[in-house]
Amino acid sequence: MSAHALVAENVSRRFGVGRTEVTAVRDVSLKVDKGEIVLIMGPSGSGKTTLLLMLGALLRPSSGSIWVDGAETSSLKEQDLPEIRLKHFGFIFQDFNLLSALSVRENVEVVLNLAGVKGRSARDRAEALLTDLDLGGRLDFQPSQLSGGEKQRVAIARALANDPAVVLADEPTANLDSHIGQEVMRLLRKIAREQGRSVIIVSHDERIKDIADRVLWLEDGMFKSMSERAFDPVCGMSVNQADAVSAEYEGATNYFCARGCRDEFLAEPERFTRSSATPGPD
Amino acid sequence: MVSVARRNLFQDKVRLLVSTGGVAFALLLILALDGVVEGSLTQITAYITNTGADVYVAQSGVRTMHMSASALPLTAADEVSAVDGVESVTPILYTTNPVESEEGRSLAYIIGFHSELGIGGPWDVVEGSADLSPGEVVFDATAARRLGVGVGDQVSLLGRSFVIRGLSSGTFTITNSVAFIRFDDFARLRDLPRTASYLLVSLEPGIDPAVGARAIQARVPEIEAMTRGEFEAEEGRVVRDMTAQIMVVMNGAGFVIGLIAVALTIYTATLAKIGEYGVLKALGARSDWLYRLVFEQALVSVTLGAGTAVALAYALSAIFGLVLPEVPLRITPTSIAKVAIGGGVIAVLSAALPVRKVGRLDPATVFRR
Repeated sequence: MSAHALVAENVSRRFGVGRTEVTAVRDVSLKVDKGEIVLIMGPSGSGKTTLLLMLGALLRPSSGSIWVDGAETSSLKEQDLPEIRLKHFGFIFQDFNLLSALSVRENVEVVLNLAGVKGRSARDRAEALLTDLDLGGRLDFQPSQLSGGEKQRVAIARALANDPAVVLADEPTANLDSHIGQEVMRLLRKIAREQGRSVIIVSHDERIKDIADRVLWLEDGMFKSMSERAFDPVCGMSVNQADAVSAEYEGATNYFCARGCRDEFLAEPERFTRSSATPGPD
Repeated sequence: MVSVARRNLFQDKVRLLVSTGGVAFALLLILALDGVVEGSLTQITAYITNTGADVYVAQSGVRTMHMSASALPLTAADEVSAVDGVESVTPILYTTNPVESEEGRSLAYIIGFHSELGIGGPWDVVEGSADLSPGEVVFDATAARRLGVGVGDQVSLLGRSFVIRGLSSGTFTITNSVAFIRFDDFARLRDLPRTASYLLVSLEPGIDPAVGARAIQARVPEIEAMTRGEFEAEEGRVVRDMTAQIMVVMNGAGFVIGLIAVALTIYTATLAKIGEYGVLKALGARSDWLYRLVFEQALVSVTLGAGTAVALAYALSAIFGLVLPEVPLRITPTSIAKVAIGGGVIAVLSAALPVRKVGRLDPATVFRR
């Protein structure tokens, strides 16, 4: 296990019981190497967030096992999980989730305090992390005084405060413009390459594929092969080629989520094949 | 160490002001009421405190002046005088009666004393004299002002007219004042020959009042002998018993108002930050750390409110002393301790509900927005 920062074996998570039971994640296995960036993509409701929660010791799996840094988290009691999250994981959120009443420095310092680092040590460590991320001039600012990119950099500094083995990022670029998003991606890559931390990203952002070592597609609670998937040229939805409605055009096979999209495509195929980068009618 | 609690609390100044103001108002209510009762007790027992007597002797079974009537044969004074260690015995007569002028009336303790002995009479004469001739009275200055009379004017008490010979200070209470007349005037008007209401006993220097009181009680068993301290305490107890119910109600009201003010503030402050508490939980904060955070907020609110209340109470006490001297407001360490304990209870109770909410908070919700 030691070669991997994080291992999940046959992990499932069910919600509800009896007729209302829903399986959000089913029998998923995953091994993430140290310093590896893994991007998990998938449609809404596919179980991405549930999987992220289980990997981050925020939710216990219904079955299966999860190890982080060689320690099994899935068998721990509820009261032991906060310490696992504090010491082994760094979290980056879509909405940044900075504490609004605290300054930039204090937002990082408080996580160190939680881990038992206090006083000058915590302050120095927080300042060093923030300075590394070009926020040395913003230490005493309030979150409300920062731009989106700066907020996300504070969140990254906070995620790194306790020197975690794994950084979990939930849509880290979703609320940022493309330039700032690129900057955040660069930082995530740096975290993995230079610091040897594993980075697991859940996102819909296709650009993150560029920095990912591995891209996983989660659908219906299961990982599916990316090679078997195609994008509907009409609505842009990712579809499984084996299950999708298809149509030939100029010697190529196009896959659709439903007959409606196929009919729309066939009525005006040039409109949808002019630019593959911008699917959709408008 | 970053204090998230204090940062959260001071972030919303209006909410903090409402909370502190609510607690301060509620606790001030308790302090002011306590202060008025304590101040009144000081006034009511002022006569007992200031006569200079070491031991008070009353009719057997009578242990107070307020709401009591005591009658002793004057021969009891001779018996008490014979007790070892007794230096002097001064009889006084006492009753409650209105003092009337043309402008109104004021309920007063009427004290009949031997003005030539200088004991049992007014201790602070601010105008005129306490050296009384028959038909003269020393009356409280505040009550006299209210009745529109002064030195040389006439007032009516015990059914006849008296000329005001002097005005005294420190002889006015929230319920009544004190008027001093000659012992023989009192005895004649009430037809009480050879009778005293109380005996004021001075002991020889170095005699412990408790020892002296026990010796008198042993020698003259058909009387009630008490030290000045015991007599004051008994008098105070009567007043406290009379005000106990209203005190309970008002203290309860103050407590509930304070509790509501802090509870609402802490609850709304917690709700406003519930998302951030979820973030902290997700990052690794344990529930007990968050409980302390909520409790610290409540405690800081209450401490600020209590501090403000005490400061306001002292300010109010000073203002009352200047503007309304007849309603004294006396802030005691006991009252402050009561407010501190009440504030602590308010802090704990007001944190209870938000703590439950934080305890049940699922950190995973941070990812589900």
